[in-house]
Amino acid sequence: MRTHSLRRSKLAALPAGALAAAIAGVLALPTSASAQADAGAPDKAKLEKVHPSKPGYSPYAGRTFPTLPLFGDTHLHTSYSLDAGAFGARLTPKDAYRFARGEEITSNTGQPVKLSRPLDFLVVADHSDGMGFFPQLMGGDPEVLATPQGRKWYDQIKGGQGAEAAMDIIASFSGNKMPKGFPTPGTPAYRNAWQETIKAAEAYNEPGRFTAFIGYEWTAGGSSNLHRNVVFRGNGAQAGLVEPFTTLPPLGSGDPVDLWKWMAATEQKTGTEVLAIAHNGNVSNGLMFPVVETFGKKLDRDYVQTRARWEPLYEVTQTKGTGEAHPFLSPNDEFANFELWDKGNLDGTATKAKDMLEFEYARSALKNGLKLEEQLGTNPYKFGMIGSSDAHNGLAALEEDNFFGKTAPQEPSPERMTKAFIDNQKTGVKVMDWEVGASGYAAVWATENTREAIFDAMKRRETYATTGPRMAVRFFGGWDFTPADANNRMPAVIGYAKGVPMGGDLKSAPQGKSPTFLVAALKDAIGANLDRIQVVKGWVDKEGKTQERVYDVAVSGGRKIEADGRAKAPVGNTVDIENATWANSIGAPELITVWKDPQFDARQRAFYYARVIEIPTPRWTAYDAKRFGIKPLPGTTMVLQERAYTAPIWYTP
Amino acid sequence: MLNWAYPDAMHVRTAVWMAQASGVLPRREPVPDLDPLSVTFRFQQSIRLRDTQVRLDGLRGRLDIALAGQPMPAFAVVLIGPMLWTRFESAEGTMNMVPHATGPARDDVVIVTDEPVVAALAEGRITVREARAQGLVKTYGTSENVVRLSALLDRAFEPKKH
Repeated sequence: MRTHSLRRSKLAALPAGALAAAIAGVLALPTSASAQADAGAPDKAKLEKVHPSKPGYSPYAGRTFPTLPLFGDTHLHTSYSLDAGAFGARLTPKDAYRFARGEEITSNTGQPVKLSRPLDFLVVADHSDGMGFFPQLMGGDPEVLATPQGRKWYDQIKGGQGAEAAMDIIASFSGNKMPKGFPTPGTPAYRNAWQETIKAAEAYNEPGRFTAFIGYEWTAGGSSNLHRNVVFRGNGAQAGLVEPFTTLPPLGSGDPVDLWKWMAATEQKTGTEVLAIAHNGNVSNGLMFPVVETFGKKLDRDYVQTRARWEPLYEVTQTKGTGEAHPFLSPNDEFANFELWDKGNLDGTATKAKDMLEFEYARSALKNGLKLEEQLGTNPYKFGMIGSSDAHNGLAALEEDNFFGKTAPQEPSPERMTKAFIDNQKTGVKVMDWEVGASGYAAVWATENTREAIFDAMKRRETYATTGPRMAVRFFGGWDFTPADANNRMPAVIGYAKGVPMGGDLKSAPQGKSPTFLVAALKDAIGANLDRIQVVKGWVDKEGKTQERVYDVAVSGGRKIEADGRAKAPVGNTVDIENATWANSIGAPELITVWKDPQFDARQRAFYYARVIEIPTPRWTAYDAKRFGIKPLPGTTMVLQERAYTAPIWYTP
Repeated sequence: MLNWAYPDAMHVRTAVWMAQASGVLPRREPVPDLDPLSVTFRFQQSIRLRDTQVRLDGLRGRLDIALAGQPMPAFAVVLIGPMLWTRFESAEGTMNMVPHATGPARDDVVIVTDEPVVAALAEGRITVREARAQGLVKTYGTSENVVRLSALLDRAFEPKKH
C-alpha cells in the first residue's frame, strides 16, 4: 500500500513526456518487483513534500528536490592551525570566510587574491591540537603569557629569537611535552581560540547565500595519516557547549574509535549532529581502511557499525594527492594515474610498499567494504566522495589558473615550481612543490544553502568530488531507466522519480532485471568541455573476491564505445603549454545517457559510481611557467584532465 | 615564523618577484632544485653566497661613510630567499659587519629584504627610499631606531648629485 501511494505521488510531479515513459516503466514491473522498486527511497512524508501531487504549468513550481549543486571546501586551515602558523600563515578564520564568499583579500605573502566566483560553503577546519596558539602567542594573549613557557616564547620572538622559539614550540608539541598551561581543551586560552573559530563562522554564515560551518580537524596518526575533519550541523551556541577532541593523551587520543565516542557524547550534549570526514589515506601507509585489525584489535561488528555511523563521506582529492584509484590496484584503468602522492607516509619518514595501497585508496576501500558487509553485517566504507583543499593558508583557491598553494611559502612565486615540499634524505622520499595538486572542492546536492540542508545532503551522501572545476553531475540508479530518459532536459525529475540519487541504495533486484543508471554532466560554465562519463563498478564475485571494471558510458565527439564498454580513441588535446591556453573545440559541453549493467548478477553485492572527465587543460604549473617566464624542472606535469567522482550507488541482494 | 616575528615579512618575497616582473629589478632565473648534497648545488650556492657577501660588504662601506662617526643602533639584515642573516654594529664611528649571523641580537633593528634588492642597491639601480616604497625592504624595531636607521640608509644610497 505504501509503495503504491509513493509511486503515485512521484509520477504526479513528472512532465507529460516523462510521465508517459515513467508510467511505461512502472507498468512493466512485475508485482514482486514493485515491492522492491523504492528501495533506498526516503519515507512517504518526505517524498510527498518533494513531489507535490498537483503540478501546475511551471515545471519548476513546488519542486523541492536539490536543483543546484553547491560547491565548497570542508577542509581549510588558517593561522589558527599550529603548523600553518609556523609556515607563516597570518590569515584568520574570518579572512578565510570572507575570501570564500568572494571578497578580494591580501594573501599571506602580500598578493591580492580573489576567487573566480564565490564558493557556497566553507568549513574552517583548524587542527584541534594547538588551535589558535600562534595568533594568541603573538597577540600577547594574557592566558598564554601567564604561563612561563608562553612568556619565554613571546619574549624570544619579540627579541629576535623567533627561529629558536619555533623549534622549541614544534619540538615540545611533537613530543607531547607542552608546558603546563599550554592551550589544551579545558584551559581558558584554548576556549578562547575555539570561541573565536565559532564566532567567525557565526559572523559569516548567511542562510540562503553562504554557509559557514563550524568544524575542526582531528589530526591523528602521527606520520601515518589518520586525519578526520569534524563538521557540526548546528550553530555556535551548540558547538560552544563542547571543545574539540584532540589527539594527545591524556585529554585526547589518536584512535578513531575514541573520536567516534567523543562525537556520540557531543551529539548528546549539544543536541545537534556531527560527522567526520577522513582524508589522505594515500599517506597513511596502509592504515586508513583496515580490513583485519586496527590499533591491535580485530575489526568487529561494533567497529564497522560505528565507522559507518559517523563517516558518511571520504575526501578523495586534495592538495596532497588524489586517492580514488591507483594504477597498481587498477592496471586496466588508464585514468587511475592522476595526481598521485604514493612515495611514502605523511612526512616522508617511511617509504611506501605496494601492499599498503589496497588499504589507502577509495576504490579498493569501497570494494573491501562489500566484503566486510558480508562478514560483519555492515559496510564501514559506505562513503560518498568529496574533494577539498587542506590548504594551510586560509585560501580555498583551487582553480588551476588561480592556485594559491597549500602553505604560505607556496603562494605564487617564481620559485614554487622548483622547491621540494618533502625531502627526507634518510628514506629518499621526496615530493616537489610542483606535485602539490590544485584540488579540490566538495559538491553537494542540497535543497538550499543552509547548514542544515548541506549537512543533511552530506549525511545521505548526495555529494561528489571535483578536482577544481564546478561541473554539474547527476547520477541516479534504478531498475527502469530507459534510453528515452536521457532525452529529457530535466534528468533530475526523472531521476528522483524512477530511482535513487548518488549515495543511495538499490536492494533486491527484481526478477530478470539489471540496474540502470541515468547519468548526466554539464561542464563548468567557465571551464573545459567534457571528454567522457564513466561508470566504475565494484563487486564481490561468487568466489568471494572483489572485482572492478570501468565502463565508458557517454563519450564526446561521436567516438565509438566498443563491445567491451570502452572508447579506445582519446578525446584529443588542444593545450598550448607555452601559453597556458586551450580550446573548447573538442569534447562536449554536456553528456547524458542511460546505462545498464551488462554483467549483473543479482546475488552479488556491488557499487557503481560515475567519473566525469574533462578534456585536457593546462595544469597550474603551466600557468606559473607562463606568468613567471620560467622553465619547469624535467618531469613536471603541465597538463591534466580534471574530473569529478560521484558518491556510489550500492546494490545489496 | 618570520612572518609572525616580523609581521608581513613574507610580503617582501612577493614584492621582489613583482619588481622583477615589472623590470624594476633585474630578472633572475630561479636556481633549479638540485640535490643539496650534489657538487653542482654546492658550487652554485657558494658562488651566490660569495656574490651576496661582497654586496653586503659594499653596503657596509657605504653606511660607514654615511655614518660620519655618529653612533647608530645595531641592526640585522635577513635576506628572505636564502634566510641569510648579517649583523651590522657601529663602534667608535665605524660600521662593522658580522656575516652568517645566527639571527639578530636582542633589540636589533631588523631589515627584511632579499638578494636581488641588495644587488640592485649595490649597482645603483634603485635607492633605499624607492625600495622601501615598493615593499622591497621592511624595517622592524622601535620607531625611533627605525627612523634613525632609515635616515642613515637613505643618506648612504641617495643618488649622486652631479
